[in-house]
Amino acid sequence: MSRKPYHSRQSADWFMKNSYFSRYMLRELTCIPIGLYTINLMAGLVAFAQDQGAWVDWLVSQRNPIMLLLMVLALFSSVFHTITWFETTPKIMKIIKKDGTLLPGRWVLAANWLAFAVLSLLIIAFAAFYS
Amino acid sequence: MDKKHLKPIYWGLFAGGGTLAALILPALIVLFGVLLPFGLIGFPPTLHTHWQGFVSRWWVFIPLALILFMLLWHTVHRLYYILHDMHIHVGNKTRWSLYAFALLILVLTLVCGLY
Repeated sequence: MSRKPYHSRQSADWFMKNSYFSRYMLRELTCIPIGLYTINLMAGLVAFAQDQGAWVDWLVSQRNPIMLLLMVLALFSSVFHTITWFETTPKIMKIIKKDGTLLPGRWVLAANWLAFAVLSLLIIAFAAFYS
Repeated sequence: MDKKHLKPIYWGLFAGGGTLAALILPALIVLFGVLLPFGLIGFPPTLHTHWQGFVSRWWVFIPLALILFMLLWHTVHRLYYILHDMHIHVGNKTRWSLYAFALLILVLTLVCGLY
């Protein structure tokens, strides 16, 4: 059973022709540095669960220029991912108030950023307290 | 099996992973990529001394690995749709291979971390 797939006539570089589409593609592409860095974090988690030598070795490996490049790319990507992910949240989450009107999107957005701030602070404060 | 029934699973994992990434990944990168490796906060081996015993318990290690797995799932899921958007025609084989890759990394993490 083979069906000819539909091939659109849109050019391959369609997302380069309009800044809105470029931003969309950039947003989608953030997943690549994020994924690579996540694999690195999984290696770090494994190292941490093992002995102290493995943990220190993993930390030293993070200062390697290639890892630093990945870190910088992943940091920019993840911040852009956060911004764009939070932007879409009010469009997906429609919260209806008791009076039947919608909770304004900016409140949903603000709640997201508040959660981001609290979690970020907790993670860093926790590590700073115990190290 | 009708693959439509699996849609809530892979879109759900994508949504969960994307949300987790948005909430905690910048902090994790600053912490594990800058603050700890460059000794900007305290002495990293101390962190290990305090928490290694806790983190290596299976009921702590598995949830932590699953959080990272969801981030990775978000990546491979999005990657599949990027290929589609870029008019690179790939089929379900590519889709399942990407998901299998994320699962493989999870299994590796669990095996290396727990044994």
